[in-house]
Amino acid sequence: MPVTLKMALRNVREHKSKSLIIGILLLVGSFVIVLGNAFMDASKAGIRTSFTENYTGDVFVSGVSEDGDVSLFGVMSAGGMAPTPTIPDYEKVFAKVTSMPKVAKASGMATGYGIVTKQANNDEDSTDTTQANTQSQSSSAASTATTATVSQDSTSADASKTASTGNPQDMVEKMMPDMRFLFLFGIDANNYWDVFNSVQLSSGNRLKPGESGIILNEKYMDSISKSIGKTLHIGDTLVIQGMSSMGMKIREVPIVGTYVQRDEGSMPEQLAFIDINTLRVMAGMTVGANETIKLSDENTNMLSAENPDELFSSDLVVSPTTSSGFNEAKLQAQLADKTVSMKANEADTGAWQFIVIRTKRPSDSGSVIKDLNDYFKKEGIAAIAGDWQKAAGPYGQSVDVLRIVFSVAISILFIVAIIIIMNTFVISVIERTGEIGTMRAIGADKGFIRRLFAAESLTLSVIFSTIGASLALLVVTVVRLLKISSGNMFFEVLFGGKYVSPFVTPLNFFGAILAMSLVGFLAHLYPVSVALKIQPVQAMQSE
Amino acid sequence: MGIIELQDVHKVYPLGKVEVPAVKGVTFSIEKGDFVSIAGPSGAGKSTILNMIGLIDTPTSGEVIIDGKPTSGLSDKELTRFRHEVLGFVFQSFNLIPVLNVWENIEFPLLLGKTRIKPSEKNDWIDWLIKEVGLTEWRNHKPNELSGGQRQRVAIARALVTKPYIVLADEPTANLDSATGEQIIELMKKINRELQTTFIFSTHDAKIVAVADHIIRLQDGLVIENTRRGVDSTQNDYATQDSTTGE
Repeated sequence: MPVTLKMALRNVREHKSKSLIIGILLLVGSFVIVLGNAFMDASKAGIRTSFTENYTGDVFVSGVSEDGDVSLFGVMSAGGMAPTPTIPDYEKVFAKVTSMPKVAKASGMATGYGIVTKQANNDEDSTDTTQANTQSQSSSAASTATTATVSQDSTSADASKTASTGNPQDMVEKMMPDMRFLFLFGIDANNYWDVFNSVQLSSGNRLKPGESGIILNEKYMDSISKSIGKTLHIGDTLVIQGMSSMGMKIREVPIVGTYVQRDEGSMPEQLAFIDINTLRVMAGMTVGANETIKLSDENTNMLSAENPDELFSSDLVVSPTTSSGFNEAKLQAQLADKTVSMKANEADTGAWQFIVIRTKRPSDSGSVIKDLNDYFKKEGIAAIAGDWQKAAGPYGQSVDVLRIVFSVAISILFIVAIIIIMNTFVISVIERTGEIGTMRAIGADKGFIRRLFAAESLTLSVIFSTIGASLALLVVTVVRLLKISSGNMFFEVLFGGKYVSPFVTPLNFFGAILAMSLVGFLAHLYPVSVALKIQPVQAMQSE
Repeated sequence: MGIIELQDVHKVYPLGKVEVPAVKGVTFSIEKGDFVSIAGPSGAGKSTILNMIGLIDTPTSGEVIIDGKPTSGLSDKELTRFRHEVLGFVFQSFNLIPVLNVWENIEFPLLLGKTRIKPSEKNDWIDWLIKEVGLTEWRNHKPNELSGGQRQRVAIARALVTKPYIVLADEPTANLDSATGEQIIELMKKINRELQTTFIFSTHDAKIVAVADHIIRLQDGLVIENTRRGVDSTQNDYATQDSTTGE
């Protein structure tokens, strides 16, 4: 054993109080890092599993929006809901995806939001509104839609139980008992079920290619039944108000089946699978929706007017001088012509917002993403491939935000630890002035003194941070053995399952030891510089 | 030329705005194998001269020549190597490393760089030294388990372990009772004879001074006596300095 290490170990033992001060700081540091990361890793794994198994697959392809990143929940724009772009040259892109050797399965899909109201489902005339096109303020639709993705059933059998948790989503539904929200997955019935096997049909059938219909969560269908005051069965029709940035559209959709989740809590009950064409219409993906409208110069000027008063000239109000310009019959004929409005209700059958991809191995996702993005760039296709985290949008980002907050807290802990350890080391150096001077006098060079103190700080760091990391590992093991219930769906996703399931990875364990060793190393640099200033002659002055 | 030569060495210590001269122009020579006592009252400059010979302090002016090599202008690294290879130190307060036992303390200088001791001889050499200083039974004890005399014996063995040409001892008996002090001096004398190592020690104890075969007596930073047993080399720098300054 090198003499520096031997002396370091003995000095650690000899100076117990100082070693303990430094050691406890290092121990707490590594304990917090390992434990915090264990929970965050569990959280990330939980969210990742939830998203990759249920929503996004391993790789997610979307169109590109100038308003922000595109996720499964739409465009993450600052100013409200921007339209979710469709994938250009979808057939070509899909063919490319399925031809890639690392891709196992893929499917096209689109998402949207809808509400089911008591009024719409009990109005005898509601069926007449099937083809109606009701425009509404897109901003209000957006705000309501956001609520729809997170709401939970408050009128179901366990409503009182869940409401007692104080969940704000339950409260929203309690405030609006006659309304239920739906998060709609417009799927390609040809291959969607090959990609995702997370739901199990409890009644009815899966959507078949070309079939119009919706599959609801079994529990949520009961909730909807209570909400609209009418017991729903397979084969019944449900009136859904679809909402998008293009406005609101109402569709009557037959219920073809109900599902239960294979893993309870893995997805929200509001999730419903709907045929793609109905979703396209409700989400505004209709024929002509993306057509460019050419405006005259006069109209363009009017739209660009900054002051609304400029739109009204002084000769706006004029007395009719002749009636020859008005022809009622002509107006009636124009109103009777529904060519344009029908076009707006005709689904754009080539429009897909996303392609969800299952790779042969999860580790293949990185190279598939790179290859696809290279392909899009080369072909000039305005599409982008990303991982589950990109697809998960705000949910995926929440993991990183949590980790950033944790990292900042740990950094503060590091700084405090470095200062305290540094001071303790400086005191130790001052107390050992004679010893250091003696070593210098009898032939120890500055490198030896440097190595001696480095060995001491690293010995302390490694010993105590290993104890701290091991304690955290023990706590994690105990927590897993105790099988503490996650409580609700939010925490189930957050903690990676029905039980609080933190786990310690080797990277986390050894990374924490390494990080705290770095703290110990950094903390010893200044005291060493003090030690190196000690002259050999000071050996003569020691008592 | 002696193994150590001091040529008009001055040392001035700054004390606030005042400069305090500790050594005021000292010149002497020490021969290889000498058993030298630097004697004088407190404040005479004994320790300062010993520190400069030991290369742990530098003269303000003048030159210290060791083994024919001028030492002024040597870098910190060169001074360290010089101290390690040529010099051995015995301190007034023993200055052993508290976490190392007797054997390890003696071994310690051998671990600091190249030495004249072959690795295969190392253990036998340390064991011989421990036997010479009479600490065989204490070899595994830590310094705090030893008496003052025993500690100083360890310090002497440590000073000799690299087979230095010169061993410097700053008041080696100051913290010992007189009987133990005499034993330590006897031990140093014995090793001096056996290994032909030059010993230079500072003391103000007249009984110990008498054992030396070369006495350099200081007063107020000047040499007032420089006597080698059997050689009439007495000088009186003090008188010379006194006459030149007119004090």
